[in-house]
Amino acid sequence: MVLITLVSSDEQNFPVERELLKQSGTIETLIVNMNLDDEDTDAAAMPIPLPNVKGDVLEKVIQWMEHHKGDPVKEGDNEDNNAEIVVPQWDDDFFKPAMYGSKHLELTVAASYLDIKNLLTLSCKAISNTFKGKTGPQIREEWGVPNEFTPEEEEAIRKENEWSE
Amino acid sequence: MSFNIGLLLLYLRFFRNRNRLTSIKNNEIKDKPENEDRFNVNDFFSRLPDLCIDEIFKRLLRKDIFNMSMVSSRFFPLTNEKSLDEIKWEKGSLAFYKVRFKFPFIAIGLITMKIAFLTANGYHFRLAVDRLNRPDYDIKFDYGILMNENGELIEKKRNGPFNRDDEVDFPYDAEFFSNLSMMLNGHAVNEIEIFYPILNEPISEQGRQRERKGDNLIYFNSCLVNGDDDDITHFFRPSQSILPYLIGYDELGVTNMILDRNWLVPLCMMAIDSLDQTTNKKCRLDFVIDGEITGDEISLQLRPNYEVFEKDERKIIRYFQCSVVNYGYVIKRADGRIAKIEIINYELIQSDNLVHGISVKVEDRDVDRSEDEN
Repeated sequence: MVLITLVSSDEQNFPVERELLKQSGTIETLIVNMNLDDEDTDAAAMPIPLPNVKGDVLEKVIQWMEHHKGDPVKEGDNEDNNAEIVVPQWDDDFFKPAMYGSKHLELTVAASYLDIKNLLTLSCKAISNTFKGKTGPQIREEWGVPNEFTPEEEEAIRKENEWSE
Repeated sequence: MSFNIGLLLLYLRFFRNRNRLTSIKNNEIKDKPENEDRFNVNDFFSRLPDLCIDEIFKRLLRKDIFNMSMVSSRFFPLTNEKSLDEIKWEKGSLAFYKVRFKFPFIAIGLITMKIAFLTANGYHFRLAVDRLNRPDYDIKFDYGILMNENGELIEKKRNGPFNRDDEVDFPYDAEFFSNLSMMLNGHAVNEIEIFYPILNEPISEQGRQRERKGDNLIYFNSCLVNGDDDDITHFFRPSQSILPYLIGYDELGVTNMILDRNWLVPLCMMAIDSLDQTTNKKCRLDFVIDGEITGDEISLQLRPNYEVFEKDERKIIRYFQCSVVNYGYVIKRADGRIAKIEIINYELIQSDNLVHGISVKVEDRDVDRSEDEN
């Protein structure tokens, strides 16, 4: 079994099974191009630095990849009907504890950076589920987003959106 | 449309903020130790890159996208991304219409999603926002542009049945078109069709039924062949101000619009020039002119860097009850861009009018003179 070492931005080392990394388009491309999965190559001597991912986030990403080991990896653009994607229970429980905090969002950014399509889809879907049926001010309050609109601007957008009610 | 100016200001503010955000981000990373908030933005969600927010928005339902636009000035422009149009306009009929009779004249049951509108002069336009080819299509909301008693244009956007008591008039000509582009509010329009002109006549019950069934496209050729439908004789003659609005589309079919024959050459030159702004480098225009035009007349109207070739062969084609003459010209710009003009003389069965169906095909390629002349 080939182990590949990933190095997070805070210089923690994570030895990961080569098989798991097939889910990440970014790392998979690197491994294939550098022949890191060759038995004769000393893969341990060539750790992959991930300067955009912090250690605790990378740990979560690896945890997620381990659970989804063997899942089919989507190729190309996601053609699914986005509104109908259901987040499986395990993933829901996985995302939930950190949902309104930075951890979940950093996980989403990491999924985008590492090009892990399934994780990005599910994580974005989990976030979008929290917006369902909520008004702008409610979402603002829940996520702590500051209100930058002037009352006139808010009124203009409200008028613009009136018909969607 | 005062609130549109407000929206414009918002866009401007967004771009200003975005630049500011980038510069702050760079300074922060260089000068300060990395803290919990690396972007100097104090909420978690706003720290997401645009790409990720776009991914999240793509998974929202139509109504939730509108709600997200209310959250912050950062999200507002992101909710207007083109990639979300399909969700935002899904299952809706966007109809620009006038309410002159007890029943508003609207397009119902279209398979394609279109903005349709009818002017007091009887021009009925449908602007395609997007195409949906689904059998379970139903109307969820409508979009109307009306004129109130002060003569101001107002937008009406609502769900459910139309209010049949609104009796308002509709704007005209150039002013109407410039207002229309404002009202489209940046929504992509990839097709324009002008059809079913009414010419200030009441809409017949039959016409209304036809609209409701969605069988509402009447093309010139089918009108000619069928011959027995009263509605088809209603050609309309717009003012010259319509010309700029006819170009810029890959394909435009307005086969019952009669243009002055002297506008043909300026229109062709405009169409050739407009290809500079498109990626497709091809366009096609179908309409009708009110009289015959000769090669000499064309060459007199051309600007210096254009020339015209005549196809010398005149084909006579026989349709069911009449014969048509088919001939054409090629207008060439000095750099090789060409507009092929095919002219078909149709003799209308119901009247003695002879109209000239025009098909202008503009291409971005070198003209083969010998081929076109033969």
